[in-house]
Amino acid sequence: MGNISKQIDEIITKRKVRLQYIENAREKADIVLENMYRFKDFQDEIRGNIDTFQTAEGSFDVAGSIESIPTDEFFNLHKVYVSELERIINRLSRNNLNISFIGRTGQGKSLVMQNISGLDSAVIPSSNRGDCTGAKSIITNSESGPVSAKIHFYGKEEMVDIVNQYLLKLTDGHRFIKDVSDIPAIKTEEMRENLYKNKSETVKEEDWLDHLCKYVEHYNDYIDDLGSVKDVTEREIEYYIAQYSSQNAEQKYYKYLGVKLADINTNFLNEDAGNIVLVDTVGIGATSLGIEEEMLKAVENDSDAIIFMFRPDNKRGRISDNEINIIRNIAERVSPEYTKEMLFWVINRVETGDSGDNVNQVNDVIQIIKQRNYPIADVLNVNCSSKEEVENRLLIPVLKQLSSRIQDVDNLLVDKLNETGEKLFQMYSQICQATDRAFASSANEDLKRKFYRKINPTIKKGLLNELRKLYLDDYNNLRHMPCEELMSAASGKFKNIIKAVPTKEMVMDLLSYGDANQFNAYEACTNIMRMQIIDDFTELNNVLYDIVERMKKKVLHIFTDEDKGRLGLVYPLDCSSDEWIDGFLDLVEGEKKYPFLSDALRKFQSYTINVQGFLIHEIREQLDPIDISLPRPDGSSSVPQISGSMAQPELVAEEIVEWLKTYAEDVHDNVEITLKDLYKTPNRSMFAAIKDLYDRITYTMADNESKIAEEWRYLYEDWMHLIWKEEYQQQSAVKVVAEEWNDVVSKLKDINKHEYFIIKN
Amino acid sequence: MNIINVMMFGGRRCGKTSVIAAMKGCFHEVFGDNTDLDINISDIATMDVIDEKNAEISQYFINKTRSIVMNQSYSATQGLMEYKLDICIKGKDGRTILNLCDFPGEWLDQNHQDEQRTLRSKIEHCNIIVIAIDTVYLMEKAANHNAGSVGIYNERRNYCKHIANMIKDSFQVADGEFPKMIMFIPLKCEKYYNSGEMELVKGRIHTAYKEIFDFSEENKGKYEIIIAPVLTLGKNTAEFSRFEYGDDGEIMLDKDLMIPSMPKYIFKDISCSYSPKYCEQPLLYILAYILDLMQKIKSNERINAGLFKKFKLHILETYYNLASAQDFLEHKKIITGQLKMDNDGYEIISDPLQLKEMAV
Repeated sequence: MGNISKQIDEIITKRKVRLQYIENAREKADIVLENMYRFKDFQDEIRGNIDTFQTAEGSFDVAGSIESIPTDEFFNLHKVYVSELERIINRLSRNNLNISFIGRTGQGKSLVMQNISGLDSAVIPSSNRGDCTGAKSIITNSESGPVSAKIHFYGKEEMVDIVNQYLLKLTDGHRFIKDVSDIPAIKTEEMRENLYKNKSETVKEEDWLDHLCKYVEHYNDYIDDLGSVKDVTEREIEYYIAQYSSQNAEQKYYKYLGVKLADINTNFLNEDAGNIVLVDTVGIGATSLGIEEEMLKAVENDSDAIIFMFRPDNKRGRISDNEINIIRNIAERVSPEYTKEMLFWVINRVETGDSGDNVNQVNDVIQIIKQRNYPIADVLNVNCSSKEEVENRLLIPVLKQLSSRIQDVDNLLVDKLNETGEKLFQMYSQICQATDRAFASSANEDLKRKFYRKINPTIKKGLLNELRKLYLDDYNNLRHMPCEELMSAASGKFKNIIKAVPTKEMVMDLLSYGDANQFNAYEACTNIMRMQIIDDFTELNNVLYDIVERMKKKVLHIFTDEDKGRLGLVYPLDCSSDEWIDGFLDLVEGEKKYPFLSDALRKFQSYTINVQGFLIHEIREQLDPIDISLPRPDGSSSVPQISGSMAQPELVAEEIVEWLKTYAEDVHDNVEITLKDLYKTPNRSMFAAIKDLYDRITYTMADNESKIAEEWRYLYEDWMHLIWKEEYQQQSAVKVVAEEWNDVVSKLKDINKHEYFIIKN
Repeated sequence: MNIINVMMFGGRRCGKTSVIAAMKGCFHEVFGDNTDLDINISDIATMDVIDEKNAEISQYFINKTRSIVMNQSYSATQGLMEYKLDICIKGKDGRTILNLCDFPGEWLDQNHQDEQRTLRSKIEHCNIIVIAIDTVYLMEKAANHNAGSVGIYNERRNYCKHIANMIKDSFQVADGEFPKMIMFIPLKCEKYYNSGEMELVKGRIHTAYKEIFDFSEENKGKYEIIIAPVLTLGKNTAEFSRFEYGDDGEIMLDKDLMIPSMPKYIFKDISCSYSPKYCEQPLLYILAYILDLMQKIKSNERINAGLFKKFKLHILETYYNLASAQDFLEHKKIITGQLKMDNDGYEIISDPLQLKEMAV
């Protein structure tokens, strides 16, 4: 087994592993759908019995809230998601890699496939006399046995659809058939007369009518085969897929009208071709209807690599709108990212032949293609009548690209699927949120009074007092101490200052660049070092981000824990702090209903520490020793003495490195000392952030009233149906609805998780 | 004949021998035309070691490269070395032997208990202790730019606390005894001299050797304490560049001592020449001490003498060239006039010899 075929086998094996994840996602998609249908049924039930549901205090319409949650958009997107999933499942299930050949008629597709597969024109018809391939065929590289094929025929319903395409077009949608047995009765003569009468007929319409006539006149050629699959020998294949005999063009065939697909097995000429399949498509521009759509479907569903065949005109080296449109349509259908990896534009170079050579035009066309930057993997210049060129300049480059890049392309497809999954998840989450809101603010005054004894201690003891403890017991002590994590991370950066000194070899490279002298090289080194050092210290932002996020999570745990603020029962803290604040305020409509509380949380959310704010300028100041644009503090030049001549670049480079190491040491020590005073900053800053939040959510006043206390109470009253779910159910006026509702919604929410919509790639 | 014992203290390879070498290098300057003092080397053989040291230093300037690693080729002091110098006033009888005692810095390590016992007995009979300081280790890798913090490798290199303990234990002055001298000599301080940081060097010596200063404060009037920096290479010559780093960005350390193994120095101006500075000062301070001591001995001798002995001394001093207290006082005045007492890191911290007063 050669290298390429081995790689192809490995790819196929890896695809099977990945397939398990995709199939798993498919199952999850069904679970999601099932839950949504349950929810929809519940909505329908309410819709049908809306009058029977009570409303608490007669003013709050729970049933209306539930019934009005929109779901149509979700179901539509779910359909798209599932079809994308199934497409990928099909793709990964294949035991071969598929190479599809597309292009207008007469561009050399069949010729190339003959030269790859070793099949002759009897099996893969090719000719210069117009449309020759009558049906789509796939050719599988099979190591053993004689050439054979399975001929798959259309079903009867599919045939009705095909014929109706022509009928509807020709009669402006007035006539169509319902059954395949109606075909012989179609009055084609009458239709032709009408075309002439109207004098509005076009060449296209005449062609369509010609095609329709074939289906009508040769009904008996295909009717008995419909719905069946036949095993045929090599000799018989042409009879089923070609429009005429390769030996005698006068000998017409019509079996192809009923053929959906010819699945041919043969041993390819190249021994290292491996498990690949060539997918032949009917030439675009053939007058049959639906050809382009068929081609796009083949590209989308059945292709790993796509070969677009193009034979430039022998007189003018140009590309027509047809070619551009084909490329554009394919890129639109499968994404430009895909085509940039797997769409090959093959320029068929004709050196001899009836219609003259196009050698001079080929280069012009290739140049134009390259200039225009089409979304393709490569443009290949191939004499398609030469077996050797087809192998070396087409097959091998394509197989190499396939074996090296197809996994990335698969990743790309899964990423795209995940984009749809993410949208679907967002919609699903919104529905879940809407279900939460349905009962918000539904409590009447009696209920509120009953719950007061729960609400008040939760706010004061569970939440505010715990937050007070956090800043007093933890962060008040911490703010006098350096931030250990930052210190530890910074120590790695100090080492990098020393490592930033370029090596002697790098300096020698700089010295050899153009007419650079030793001072230019020294300056270049210092410039590189400064940027490298600043970039490196800027990476400390990651550490600071983690520290701040941890602090925010501690604070939000006080808001959300069941034994503290309990707000996690409204919106669980299983996400980042940022997401929680966004999600929570969005759900409870915070900005509208609890503006002071929202303002405090938003300010806390926007709190951040970054090195640009307190560190970088200090570090920058310490870089002066390696900045020759700045004089030394004593006014002397920052350019060191570099002895030795440019004739001895090695010695000069050594000197430059010595100087750089000397000044890097100064920078290192000064930065280290400078930062020592700054390590406390994060802890001090975080203390301030928590204290500020506490002050805002405790003391905010307006019009001489504690507005914030009021907002806290309203919040807990509005959301008591989730915060104290069981107690609420027992005492609620809408108890009956609530019980069933809770059952439906809890199932819905159980899977309101990314893992149900996103595939790990 | 009087013997003045001087002991050199300091960690290994920090420059103890360099101080002696520097002193020898300026004999002519000190004992030249300005004074009637004379110096003779009693033991020529031992001084060869000193000459080797001087040759090593001048070698840096002969085959100059941009950067150097000091003390790499020079062999460490082997065993206890004593360098004896005869000092006298020209034309006068009465010699003083100056006995400079040098020992390997390794002896200060914990695993040299026997050697340390030898040192302690030497210290007890010693008049002057010279503490050589490797300034680079005192100054570099400190926590901040203040005098209150010293380099993290300082203690392991300069043995400050260990030396302080030995002084407190064995270098005591009984009440009524003549004062003793402790002289700190910061070496390799070219970098800090060139960048105007000698006051910081001085401040950090106060921090690093605080125990000695506190001890002297508790024993007021018993110790003459001086900080006298020496630039063995000279101003604007080779100055400290860095402790060399390994590829991992960490300083390369000596595995045993856990101090940087390769301190590198750089010639900022490759055309500079060897121009040592203040090398004469340690010797001048030692001479000032000797002359002060001799003057006091002579004065006491005369005060305590009976009438006959007083007459005999008068005859010997007047007619037989015996050096008198007045002779020593006059030479002490001359020497004191040459002492550097402030700026560039110089300081007389405790002055029972009243050198400052005499200089005014």
